[in-house]
Amino acid sequence: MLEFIIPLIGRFHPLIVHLPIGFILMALILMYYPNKDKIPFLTAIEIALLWSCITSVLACISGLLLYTSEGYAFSTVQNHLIMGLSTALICLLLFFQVKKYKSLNTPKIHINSALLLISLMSTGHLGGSLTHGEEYLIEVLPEPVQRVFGWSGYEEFDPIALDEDQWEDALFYEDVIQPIFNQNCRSCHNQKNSKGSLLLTSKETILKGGKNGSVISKTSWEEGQLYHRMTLPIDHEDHMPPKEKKQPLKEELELVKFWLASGAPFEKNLAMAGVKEEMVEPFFIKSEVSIYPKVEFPPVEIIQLSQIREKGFFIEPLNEGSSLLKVSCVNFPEFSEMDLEYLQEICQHIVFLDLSGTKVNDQVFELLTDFENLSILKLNNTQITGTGLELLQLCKHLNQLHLTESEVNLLNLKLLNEHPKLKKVFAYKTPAALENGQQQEFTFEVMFGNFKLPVLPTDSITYQ
Amino acid sequence: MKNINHLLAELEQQRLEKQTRRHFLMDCVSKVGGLALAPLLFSCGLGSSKEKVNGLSLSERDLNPLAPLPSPFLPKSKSIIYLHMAGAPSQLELFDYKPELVKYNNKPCPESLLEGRKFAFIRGVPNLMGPQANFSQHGESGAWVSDFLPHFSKVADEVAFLKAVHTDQFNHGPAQLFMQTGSPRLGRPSLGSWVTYGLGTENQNLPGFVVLTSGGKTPDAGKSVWGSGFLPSVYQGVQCRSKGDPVLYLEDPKGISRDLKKSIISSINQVNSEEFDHYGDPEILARINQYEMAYRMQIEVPEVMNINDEPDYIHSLYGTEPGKESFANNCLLARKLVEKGVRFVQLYDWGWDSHGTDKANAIDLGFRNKCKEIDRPMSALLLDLKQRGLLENTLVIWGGEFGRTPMQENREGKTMGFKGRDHHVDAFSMWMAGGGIKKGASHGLTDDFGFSGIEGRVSVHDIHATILHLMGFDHETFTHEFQGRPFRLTDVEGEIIKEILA
Repeated sequence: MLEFIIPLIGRFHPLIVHLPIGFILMALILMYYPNKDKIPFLTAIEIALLWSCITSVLACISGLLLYTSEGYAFSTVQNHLIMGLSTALICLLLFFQVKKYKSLNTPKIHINSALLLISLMSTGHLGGSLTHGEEYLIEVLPEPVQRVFGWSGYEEFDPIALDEDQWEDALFYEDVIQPIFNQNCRSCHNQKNSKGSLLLTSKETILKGGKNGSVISKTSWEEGQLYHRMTLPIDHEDHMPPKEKKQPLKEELELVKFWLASGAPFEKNLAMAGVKEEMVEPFFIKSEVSIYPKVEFPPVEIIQLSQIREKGFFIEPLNEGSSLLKVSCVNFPEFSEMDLEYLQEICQHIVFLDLSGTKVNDQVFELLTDFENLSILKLNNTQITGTGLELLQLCKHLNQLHLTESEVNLLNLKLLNEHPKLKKVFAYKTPAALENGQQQEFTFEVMFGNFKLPVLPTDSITYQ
Repeated sequence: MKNINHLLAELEQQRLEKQTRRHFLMDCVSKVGGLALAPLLFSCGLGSSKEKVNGLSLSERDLNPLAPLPSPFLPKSKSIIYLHMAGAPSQLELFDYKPELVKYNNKPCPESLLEGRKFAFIRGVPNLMGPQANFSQHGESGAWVSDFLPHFSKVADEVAFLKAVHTDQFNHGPAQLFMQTGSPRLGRPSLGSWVTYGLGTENQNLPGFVVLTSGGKTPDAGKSVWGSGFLPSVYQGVQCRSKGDPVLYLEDPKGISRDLKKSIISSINQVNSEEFDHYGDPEILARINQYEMAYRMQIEVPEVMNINDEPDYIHSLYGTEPGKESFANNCLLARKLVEKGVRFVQLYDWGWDSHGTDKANAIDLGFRNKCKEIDRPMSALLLDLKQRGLLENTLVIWGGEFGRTPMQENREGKTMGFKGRDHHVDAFSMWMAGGGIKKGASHGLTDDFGFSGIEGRVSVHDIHATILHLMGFDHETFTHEFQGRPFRLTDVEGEIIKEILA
């Protein structure tokens, strides 16, 4: 009937521990108070030490009760327990020494005081780590400092990545479920930090479960703690991951649910487990490759950009923080290829260049050979005939070339064949389009356009 | 001489007056009061704020509010053409094919559908009305498009359909506001304002946000649908005239040279900027910029807004007739504007409110004629953008402010002379095409009557979130501080519609 007493006393441990801390510090402060004549303090020191002993014994007892009643694993509390007991012992020893010698200036007492301080601090720290987690102090530090401490709490794990064509062969547990745990649970359930003694790092540890036993129910999957806690309302105290941590995606949750519902298979692949494509579709690796090359440079100085703008160019980064640039002459119709010299210094940064509607001519191609990261080039509505287009072969990243309403002819357009990256050329309303370019073979797609919408009989009907 | 001395004396007198004790006290009162007022005004968006927009401080942007800015993320599209069919076209005669509904034609609507619902005009139990158009599948994607849009059905592979859009406003004005500003009530910036506010515009000789209207009337919600709300008014849409000269007074008046005009404008702007130094009202900056924009527009507008000189193949592709007010002309203009680096072109076509009260708004007559008016131009727009390589980075959006009921309208409980459908908020269709959109996709499914979405329902906020995503924004972080809190286009909702993204 009174079995609640034990856990209750146990739960007072976090309160009681602060008493010896206070008394011990008090005693030590008095012992080492910078005053030549400490004899008048002796009585006070004795009292402080006596109470240090009493309260540290109480702390040890309550700690032991907490350990037994709350089901902590011995390995977790081991160090804290040993240090706590030794703090109490050293404290007792010091008390009797002080009582015996009636003096403070013996080497034994100095050594014991030092030991007491050290063991007190380490006990306190280990206890704090138990309640707040080992990462408590380190996780607020800046990341480089954390690395100095060798803290790997920010271990990076790859998210689920499935091949669109071979997703059926991927293993349900290894390629899907474990990555979900890695992303959402692992920071608190790993070898270093195992809240609730639960490790979600491997098949063995998952099956072993936590301090309250298995987290996967063999009989009814919905009753397993893993599923139960992940699907509690987010405001519920037992919800996992805790409210303030990153939450799993709803697609991830669905997959965990499906995995548990199908009996938590560790060996099956997705097809065998009966996973449908739409369930894993959000995790397919996007095969889309950016048009722009994956290069980074030191960003161009803002002053330099302003100077170029003053010449009449439109120039801006591809997006915030990108060092790659987009340049257009939309408000610079007088532009001629000679003006490219303003861009020469930053030509590596330029991936998008629009010279449409300017006075540019065929000599531009020679000047563009330095623009080695150029991916999209627009020369619409210009006098370009395409002489020298083969020089664009040197722009290895060129992906799109816009020549709409230019004077480019078929012969010159063919100079671009075998370009390593070129995907698309727009040649609507050019001599090349008139020369039946459609029947020619190119190593890239050419848009000759000239789309028509035929006149339909219904076009002239008015419904009355 | 005497007069001059008199004037000088008066000037001196005035100067001295400024230094009297009384003036000192008055100044003290007004300035100290001003100090107290400043934080209040600041909260209304006035006063000099240190807020930064995409890395440019506001003061830098004040000098040129339409200066282009990079988007936070790599954008898929750089311009938008939004075709809004004001009045709300019937999805059941265009894209949402409901063969089951045919069987229930003229049968009373099941009570379960009507329970707890409010309609704009339908009263009592109306009859269901089967689709009045013939549907067939088109292109490789097998998209269902009706014979009301024979030209569009040829380009259906270019677009992604949203078949289960829903809204919560069943009257035109609020619904249009909701669709265009993200709120059914007045005061919020329109989509175009948000986009030009966030990105500026590339061509500095043209407005960043142009509005073109057709169909004889402008949207019921008034000009607020392209208003700037609490954003600086320089970001509001610039409406161009739909008949005759799109912009008036582009020619220099007789006897006034361009240079003289330039110096007049710079004098006005000087006065205005002194005024701004004194009061710090950003609206003055907006005015300064409008003068400058008006001057610069004289260079570019005559060329870009003139469709008279377009070649015949363009006129026959779009079906344009220069000088007339038409959706076709506006589509062609939209393409030309986007080609010239305009950020946002908003088209409104009025006349889609097919209630069936008369011939002009009967589903099988007036509505069908409206379809004919837009069919060729909007298909031509897609093809023209495609052949010019513009569709790769232009987002084209088509839709109304809501949909129409699967029931035939029975205004005041009576049978009507013509076939019509009432306003419907639960399910309607829209499409998007262009940069970043998955070609030939179709997202969402409605029930057998086309009454409600049963799969892939998307809200107006979802559409806005998707549009901003394609322009390189995170709709949740793209905000503007106003009255003490950040506002966003999608309020507290909106999920990107991944299913229609390439």
